[in-house]
Amino acid sequence: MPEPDAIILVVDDDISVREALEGLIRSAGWRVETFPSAQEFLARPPADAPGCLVLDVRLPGLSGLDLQKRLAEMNLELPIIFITGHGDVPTSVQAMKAGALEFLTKPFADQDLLNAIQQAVKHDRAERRSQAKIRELHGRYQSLTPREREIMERVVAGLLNKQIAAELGISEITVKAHRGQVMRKMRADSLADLVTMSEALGIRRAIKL
Amino acid sequence: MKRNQTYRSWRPAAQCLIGSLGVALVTFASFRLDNRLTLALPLELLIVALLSFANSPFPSVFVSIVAALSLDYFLMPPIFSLALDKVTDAVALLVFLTSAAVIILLMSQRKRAKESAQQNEAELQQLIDAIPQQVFVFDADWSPLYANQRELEYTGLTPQEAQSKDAVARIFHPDDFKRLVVLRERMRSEGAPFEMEARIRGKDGQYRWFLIRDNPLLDEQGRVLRWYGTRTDIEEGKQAEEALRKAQTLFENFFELSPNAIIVTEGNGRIIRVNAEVEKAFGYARTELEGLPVETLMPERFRAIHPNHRGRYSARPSVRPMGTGLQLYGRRKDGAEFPVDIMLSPVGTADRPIFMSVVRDVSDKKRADEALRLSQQQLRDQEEQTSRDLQQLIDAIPQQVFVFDADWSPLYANQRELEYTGLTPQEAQSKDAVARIFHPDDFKRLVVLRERMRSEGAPFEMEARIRGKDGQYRWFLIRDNPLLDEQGRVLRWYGTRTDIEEGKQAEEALRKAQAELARAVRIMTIGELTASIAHEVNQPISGIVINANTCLRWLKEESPDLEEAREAARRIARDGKRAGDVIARIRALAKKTPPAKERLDMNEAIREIVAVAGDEMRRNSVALRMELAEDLSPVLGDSVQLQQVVLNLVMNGVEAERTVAERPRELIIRTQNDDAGQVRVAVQDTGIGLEPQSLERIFDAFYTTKHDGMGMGLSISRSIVQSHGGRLWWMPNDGPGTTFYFTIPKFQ
Repeated sequence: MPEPDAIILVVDDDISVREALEGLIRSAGWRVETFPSAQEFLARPPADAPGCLVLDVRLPGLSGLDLQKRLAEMNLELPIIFITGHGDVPTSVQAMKAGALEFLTKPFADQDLLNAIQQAVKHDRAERRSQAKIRELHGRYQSLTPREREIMERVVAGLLNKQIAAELGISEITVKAHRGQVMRKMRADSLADLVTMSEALGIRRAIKL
Repeated sequence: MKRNQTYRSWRPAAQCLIGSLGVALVTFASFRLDNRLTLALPLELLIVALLSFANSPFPSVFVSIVAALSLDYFLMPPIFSLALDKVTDAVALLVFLTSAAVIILLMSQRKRAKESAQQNEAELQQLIDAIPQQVFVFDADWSPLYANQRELEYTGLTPQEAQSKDAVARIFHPDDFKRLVVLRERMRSEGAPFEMEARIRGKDGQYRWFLIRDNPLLDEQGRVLRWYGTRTDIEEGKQAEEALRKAQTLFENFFELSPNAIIVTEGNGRIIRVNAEVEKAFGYARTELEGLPVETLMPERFRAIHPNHRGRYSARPSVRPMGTGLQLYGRRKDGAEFPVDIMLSPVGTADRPIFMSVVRDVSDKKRADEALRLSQQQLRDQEEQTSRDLQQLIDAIPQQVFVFDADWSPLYANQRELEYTGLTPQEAQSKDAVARIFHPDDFKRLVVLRERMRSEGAPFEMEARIRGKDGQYRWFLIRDNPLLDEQGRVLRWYGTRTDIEEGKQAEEALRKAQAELARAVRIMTIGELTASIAHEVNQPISGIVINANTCLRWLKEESPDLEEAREAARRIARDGKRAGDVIARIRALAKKTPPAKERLDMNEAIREIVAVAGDEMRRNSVALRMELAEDLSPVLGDSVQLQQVVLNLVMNGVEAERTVAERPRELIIRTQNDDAGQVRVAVQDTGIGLEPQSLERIFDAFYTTKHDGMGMGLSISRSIVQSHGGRLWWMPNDGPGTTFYFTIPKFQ
C-alpha cells in the first residue's frame, strides 16, 4: 500500500514517458516528483523521506548509470528502479551489480512497476531505520571518554577485567568502574548487547596482545 | 758624446800627471837608496811602457822626457844639474830614450791596427744593413744566427721572432714553404749553393716574390758549417715578367687565331712569319714559307711586277688596302687561285722595316651574296606555302573558327562550322546565322553579351548550345577576342567555338553520381540509426500504453476520478500524434525523391533530422541544445541533401564526444541569418577536437579520423553545400571541441 510520507522520484528526458509515469504512479496513490535530466535531479536538495528513484538508463548529458555512480559516491543510497527502451543485457547487469533494485524494459506491465516501487520504498524505509539506529549508537559512542573507548574495545574482544587492567597498567577496580560507565552510556543491557552494538558501529580491536 | 769628449780631454792630462808622479817617486827612491841608475832606469821605462797602453801616445812621450830629465838632474853627476859628466850616463840616457820611443811606437801601431779593424766591422755592419736585400747566416740546421735589419723591416717580425727557427714557416707562402723545406733537406746533404723563388708575406699581409740564394760554408770534410743567405725582392720583375708573358700570349693568340691570313715580311719582301690561317688558305706549311719572297703566294702573272709596287710602298709606308679598285688573287701551293682583299701596314722600325699583310679570302663572301639572292626567292615561296598550310590547319583544327567585323557580320568561317551545322556558305555568311543555329535561350544571352562587349571591347567567353545538322543541340564554349584600333575601337572579332558536350555530359554524370552517393550514404546512416528510430517511435508508444493503463486505473475505482482519467486520455492522444509525426518524418527522410531545390525552412529541416538522431545522442549521453533563430530566412535548397549535411555533422559531433568523460557531452545546433545574406548553421560539440593540421584534409574523400569511418561524410557534405552555393568549414572552439559551420544562400 502506498505510504503517504514516501516520495517517488522519476528521471526521464522523454516527455511522453515522463508524464505517463507520473500519472501512473500518482494513480497508485504515491507522491511523485519528475525531472527531465540527471543534472536537474542532482540540483534538488535530498529529501529526508523514504522513497525510490525511477530512472531512465539513457539520458542526455549524465546517463542513468552515471547518476547511479554519482549517488553512491555521495552516500545517497536511494533504491533505484531502471527503465529502458532497449533491454540490453550488459547495461542491466552493470546496473544490478551497482545495486539497482529492478530493471524494467519498456513496454512493461504497470503493476510490475508499482510492485517494484512498493518493494523499493519498503527497502528504503528499513534501510533508513537501520541507518537512524546506527546514527543513534554512534552518538552514544561519541559520548565515551577515550579511556572508556579503550576499555570497551577490550571488553567486546572478550578480555577479562584483570587482563584489561594489566594491559592498560591500571587497577582492576578502576576497570570495573569504567566498564560500568560504558554499559550505562551505551545503554547496553548485557555484554552480548554491547558486542552487537560494537559490530553495528564497526569497532575492531586496535591493539593486539 | 759630450761626456766622452770630456773624458778624452782630461785623461791624457791625468796620465801625464800620474806618469810624472811615478817618475818622481822612482827617482826620489833611487836617490834616497843611493842605488842610482840601475834601479831607476828599468822602472821608469816600465812606467812609460804602461802609459803607452793608454789610447794616445802623448802622455808616454811626455813622461819619457820628464823621466830622462829627472834621471839626468837627480841621478847623473853632476847632481842637480842637467849637465853630464860621464859618457856612460849620456849613453844610458840615450838608450833609455830610444827604448821608450820604440815601445811607444810599437804600442801605438798595434792600437791603430785594432781600431781600424773595429771601424771596418762597424762599416761592414752598416753596409750589410744598408743593402736592399735580406741577408742571413744560418747554422748547418738552418737555425738563424744572424739577419740584417731588412728582414725585420719587411716582415714586421720582432728580433725574437726572427731568431726562431720557425720564422720562415710564418712568413713564407705555404706552397713555397713546402718547396723550401724539401730543397733545404736536399741541400743539407749535398752542401751545394741553391736558388729559389718564393713569396714572402710583408707586415702589410701582402705576399711579394723574393729570390732566395743560399751559399754553404763547408769544413775540410765538406760538411756544412754555415749557410749564407740572401733574399732579394723580385716582385716588380715578376710582375713585369707576368705582364710581358700575358702581352706575348695575347699577341700570339691574336696573331695565330686571327680569322684572316697574316703575313709578316721584311723590307726585301722575304717572309718572316705567317699564321695558321695562311697555312690553311695557301696550303703551305709555315716552315716552307719562311725565308721565301712574298710573291710565292701570288699568281705567276703578278710576280714580276709586284716588287715594283712593293718598292713604292716601302718608300711611303702607311696603313692602306693593297691594289684599291683591283680584284686581287692569291695562289695556293696546288696552283688554285682565289679572290682576296689585302690590308697592308708597316710595323717595323726605321732601321728595320717590317710589313704586315692581312689577307682575307673573299670567295665565301661572293658565294654568300649569291646564296642571299636565292634564299629571298625561297622565302617568298615559303610564305605562299605557309599561307596555304595555315588555311589547311585552320580547316583541320577541331574547332569552329571565325572572323567577324565590329558588327558581328561574319567575314570568315572555317570548314568546321559548315560541317557541323550543315549551313551552306551563303547561309553561314549571313548575319542571322547565329540566330538559326543557337539554342533560343543561349541566343538571347549571346545577344546581350555581344551588345555589352561591343562597347567594352574586351574578350569574353560563354557556354551555349548549338544545333547540328542532325537537329541535336550540343554544348559549345564560345570564345571571342577583339582586335582594337588605337582608339580602342573594335575592328575585328576573332572567335572560336569548341565542342564541350562530352565535358558537359561528364559534369552532369558526376553531379548525378554525387547525388547518388550522397543518397547512399544517407540511407546507410539511416540504417545505422534503425535502433534510434525504433526508440523514437517506442517512446510515445510506451507513453500511450502507460497512460492507457493509468486511465483504466482511475476509472476502475469505486468513485472514478474522471478528471485524472481525461488527463491520461489527453496524453494518449498527444503521444499518438507524436508517434505519427515521427513516422512521417522518417518516411520523408527515407523517400527517394529526386534532387530538387525549393524554398525551405532550415529550422524545420533540422528538427526533422534531430527526430531521427535524437536517441543516438541519448545513447551516447549527449545533451542536445537547439538555438534556432526564430526569424530565420528561408533558403533555396534540397531538403533531403541539406538534412544529410546536418545529420553528418551531428553524427560526427556525437562520435567526437563518445570518449569524453570528464565534462558534460553537449551538442548545440544553432541557426542564424549572417551578414552576407546567407543562412548559417553551426553544429558545436564538446568532443575531443580535431588537429589543426587536418583543417582541410578532413574534407577529402576517404580521409577519416574514426576507427570505423568511411571518410565520405564530410566530403559529400562539402560538395552538397557547395552545389547550393554555400560554404562548409570548421573551427576549434575556445573551450573543448569543434564547431562546424555551413552557409546556404537565402531564397529570393
